[in-house]
Amino acid sequence: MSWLQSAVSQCNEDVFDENADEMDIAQKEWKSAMEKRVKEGYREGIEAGKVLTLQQGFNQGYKEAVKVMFEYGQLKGTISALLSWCHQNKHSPAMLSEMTDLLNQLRKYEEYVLKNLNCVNPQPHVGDLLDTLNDMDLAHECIPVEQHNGTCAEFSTNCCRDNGTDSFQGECCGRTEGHKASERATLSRLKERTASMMEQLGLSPDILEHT
Amino acid sequence: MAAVEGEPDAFDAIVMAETRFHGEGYQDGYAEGVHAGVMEGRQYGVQQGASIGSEVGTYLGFAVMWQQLLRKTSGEKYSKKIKVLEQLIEMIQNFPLEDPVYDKLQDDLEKIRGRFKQVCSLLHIPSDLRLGSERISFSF
Repeated sequence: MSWLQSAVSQCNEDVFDENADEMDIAQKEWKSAMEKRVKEGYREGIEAGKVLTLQQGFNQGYKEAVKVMFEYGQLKGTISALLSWCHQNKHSPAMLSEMTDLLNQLRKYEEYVLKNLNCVNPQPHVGDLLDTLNDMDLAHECIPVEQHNGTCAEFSTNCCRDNGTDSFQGECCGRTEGHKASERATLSRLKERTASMMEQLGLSPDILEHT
Repeated sequence: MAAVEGEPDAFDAIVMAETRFHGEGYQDGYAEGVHAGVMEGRQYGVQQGASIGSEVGTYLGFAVMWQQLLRKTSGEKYSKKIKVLEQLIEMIQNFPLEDPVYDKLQDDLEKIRGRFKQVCSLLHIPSDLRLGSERISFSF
């Protein structure tokens, strides 16, 4: 309890010089005891703050992800159904491989979209977006160069717009309007390819409009 | 007398200092926790939402497409199949997909999965072709 003595003497201000060394030690102990209190408070505060917002964050992430991925799922299910039907009806291998290819591209893109949704991860970079699209051989189809430049600009503005102190959205900008626009473009492209396959099979592609 | 009077003040000072330091730490921690909670919660939410959205969406797309395929190519003999497909579609349409706190989520999801399996066996679709040779799963 020497830090207590230190505190008492600080109050009384009757410190003798010869006690200086002892006081130094006492003050250090006092300081470390108070630092411990700060840390304790910090830990308790973190827990209390988290409890308040965990559910809110969960709900927000859930709602956003479920909507987006439902749409990808629908298209995936549609193509899977076509694939199984074509298998049963012995359609041309070319048609089957076109469908398999489409499914693979869809899955890759789904993974990419999921990464964007997870805004806890570091901000995805335009370069990553282009790399992914290049890997998928889709870039030429869905992101014209001029649109890509627009996306760049949107990236920087959107990411800084919400940095208000009262908003949790500030760092939640993993998936910007720019992302959404390019995601939509890619999804439309994949839907168009599916529609054209359906037409080749003599099916009406109308159902894709409802997905 | 001065010492006696001084002592309670000193204790008060200590107690107050402890409370103050604790409170300062708490406030910083709280702000951090509020922020971290949103982030952490969101991460779980995205995982859960993405997994459920993709799975249920796939069943719906699959069922709607097969419904159209059967209607186009069939007469009466497919009516049983069409009926089960319609049931699956209806189950999915009634599923409160966008409710993150729906209490019967797992129960409903199991029923939908069961009906989907039934559809596949009625349509004689081998399991490896059901969803494009891949089970829907997300690895995080």
